[in-house]
Amino acid sequence: MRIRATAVLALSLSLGLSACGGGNGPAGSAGPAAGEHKLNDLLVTTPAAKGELDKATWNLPFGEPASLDPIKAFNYPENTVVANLCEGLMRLNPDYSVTPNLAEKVESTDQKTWVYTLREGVRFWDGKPMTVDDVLFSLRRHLDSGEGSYWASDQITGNIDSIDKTGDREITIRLKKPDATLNSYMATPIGVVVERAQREQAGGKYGTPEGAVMCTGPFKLASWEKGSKISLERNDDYWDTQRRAKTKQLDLQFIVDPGAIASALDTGAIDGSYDVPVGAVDQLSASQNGKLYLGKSLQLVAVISTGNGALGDPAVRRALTLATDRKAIAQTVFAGTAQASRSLVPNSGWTYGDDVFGPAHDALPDTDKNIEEAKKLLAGKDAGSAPITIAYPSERQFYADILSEMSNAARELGLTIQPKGIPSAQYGAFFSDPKARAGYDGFMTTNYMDIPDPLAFLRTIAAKGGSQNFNGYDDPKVQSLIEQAASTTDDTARAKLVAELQTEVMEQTPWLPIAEPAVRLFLNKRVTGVPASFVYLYYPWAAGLGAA
Amino acid sequence: MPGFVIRRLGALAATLLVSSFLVYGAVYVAPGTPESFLVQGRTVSPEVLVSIRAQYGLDDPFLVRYWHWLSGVFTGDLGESLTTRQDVASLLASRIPTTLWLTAYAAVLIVVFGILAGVIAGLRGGAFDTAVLLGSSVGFAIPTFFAAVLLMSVFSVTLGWFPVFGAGSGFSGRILHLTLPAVALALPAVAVVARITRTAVVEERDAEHVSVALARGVPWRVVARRHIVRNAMLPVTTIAGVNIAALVAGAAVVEHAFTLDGVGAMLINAVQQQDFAVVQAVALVLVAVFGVVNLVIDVLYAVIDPRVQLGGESA
Repeated sequence: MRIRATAVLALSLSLGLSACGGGNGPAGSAGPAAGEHKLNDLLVTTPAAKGELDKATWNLPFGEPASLDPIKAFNYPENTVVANLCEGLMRLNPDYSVTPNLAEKVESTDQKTWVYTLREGVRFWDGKPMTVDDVLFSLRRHLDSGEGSYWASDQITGNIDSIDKTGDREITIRLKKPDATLNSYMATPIGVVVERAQREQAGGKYGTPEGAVMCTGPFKLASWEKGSKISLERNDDYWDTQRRAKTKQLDLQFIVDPGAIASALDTGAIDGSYDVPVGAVDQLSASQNGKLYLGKSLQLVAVISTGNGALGDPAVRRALTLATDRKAIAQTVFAGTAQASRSLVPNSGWTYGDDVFGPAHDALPDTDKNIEEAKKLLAGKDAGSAPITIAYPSERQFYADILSEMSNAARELGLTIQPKGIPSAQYGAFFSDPKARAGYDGFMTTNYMDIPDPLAFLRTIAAKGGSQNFNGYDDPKVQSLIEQAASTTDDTARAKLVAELQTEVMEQTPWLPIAEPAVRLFLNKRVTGVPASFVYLYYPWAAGLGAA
Repeated sequence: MPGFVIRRLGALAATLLVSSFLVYGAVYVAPGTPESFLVQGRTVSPEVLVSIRAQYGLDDPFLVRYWHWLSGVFTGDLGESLTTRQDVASLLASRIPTTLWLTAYAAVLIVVFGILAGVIAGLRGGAFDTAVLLGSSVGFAIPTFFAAVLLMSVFSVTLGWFPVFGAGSGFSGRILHLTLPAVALALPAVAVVARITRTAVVEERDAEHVSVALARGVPWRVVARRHIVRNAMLPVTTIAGVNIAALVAGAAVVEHAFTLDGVGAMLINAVQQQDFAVVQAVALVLVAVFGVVNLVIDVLYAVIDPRVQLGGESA
């Protein structure tokens, strides 16, 4: 009901947004008539900087990082900062291409043995050269349980058989099973290189304000005032002179209150922020002092099935997805900054096989509310009378709004959805502890692809033992597609296999895809140059930040 | 009086010990696990969780962990934060100045504006009295978080007089940054104190000894100062003291709204993350501040009214 009641208001919001967000790049060309932003209209970058800046102030809307140790960086605050400090062997670029970074070359003939040739002349901030030993040490940290890497997983690090020095400037990673996605992970903290000597010297304080880190990135850590701000300072001796930072000093603030974020950005007290709160979209798209950009994203809002209850039936999951007015949710709950999603793979979330994935995505059932089709799927089924219990973190009102719309859809199908708010403190356990999920048929997630590779993402959901396989998904055909794709060298051939995998998985719909939120980036009119796409967790986004 | 103060400090120490145990227990039995917070809802393998538990000593029994913490406190070690791996003492030290500035500023506002408005309203009556009555009703009714949003939107965003976040540095910087937060924080307390002061003053004004003094020709200014205001200050001190002591706890809301790096904001995060050592340290600071402020009020009683005997009948 709430959705309908606010539909008119939200439409006018999105109109205002298109009008103000336009002017630069393709976002403006969408025009107000489009109503829904077209998938291809989302931005990849913002206009390049025209000059240097002495100082800029940025906000981390999800709060202060707990640590700057790259292997403990597995969430928005930590990754957004670490991305500017520490670099991987590979680099994930704003257009989602993956190119050599601290490695100058990568070779693999069978997706099982990966040979990295390290770049010459890379130095840490303290002037010491990056050695093979530093690289080996950094990569092996993920295999050392004493280090407690948050990135350790069965599928990626668990698949590594050995990491060895095979030349003066060469290391070789051998896998147990072939994995075509490994190279992309070298752009995430799994492939990040830190200085060994400094890591060992810092001991238990590593990654804290006292222990700090020692990396090679375009910015170095200048100071960390607990609870107040982190200051980054340009690394003037950065190895890649083409991509030297344009801003001398970058202060990162930790404002989390949506109202305060909106005020700080609107008044120019803060120059910019990714992930501005949905509630601030209205105010910020009307701001005189800056502009709200909508960028290509890898994020997905979905309902995860635990395999219990009526939601354990694939037909019910597909029917409920079809019956839910996902377009209305994207328009109202996300103030027009999201798109209804038809797949678990966010649209354009791929680095290869564009000619394959694009058409495959379009071939999936569209996102129009389709009660007829939904009823057909349920014909002759007895879904039982027990309500479908779906958990969500109670502090996040937008989940309640989504579930209220889904409840309407369920009612039309003769089903009952019972949303249940869980305090955030307990909610995190849903993702790692089966006991926490017991008694629930589904739970809400805002998920994102770690790397823009549909294979890597679908594998976490649908592979046997996948880290996000919460409903015991186990299908021999899917399993064989995953393994075949992982060992396929040719990009197009692999894309075809993964597209088939996507179709198979969507037949089962282990998660009900709801919406793909765009990157919401606000920039004061005095600054520009950062990427608008969802690469700010791993790409040194601040290096491009400069005067508009 | 020294005996009284020592006894009260002893009681405070006992209170601290008991409350530390209660807080530790409450955090322990609260739902959720610290390690799932450390990985912040990301899906990690069970082996990672096991290694985190081991790394942080989360598998020890409750009493062992409590004892470990308590014995650390006696040696001056407040422990280490679970989420940030930093010393709690240094975390606190970096946060306390902001909260102290904020609450002191708010306390000054309460004393100056609350008492002043109440006294003038009580003595003068008339239109000012009506205005204070009305204003205090409104001030008391506005929730702190709403006052914060309102003040920020009017004075920071629209008028641009004050900064929108941060606690500032240096005296003038602090004053500039903390004015709006302190007003938001002090507002309900100013209203209560003004209202109570006014009532107390009116009561004293109508008392017999005041009429007698006036009839004897004692000048009004002297009567007002010596007989009305001073007598009225006894209940006012209590209510002002309690409100000021409560500021430290209420500061959390304001610190969050204005993004100030105070202990209140730290407490909110720490509770959510089951960061034992931090919750403990902040809770102890709050209890200690509350105890000390109350002690100061009791001592003030004796200063205001020499007839009051500290420590009750036995003293």
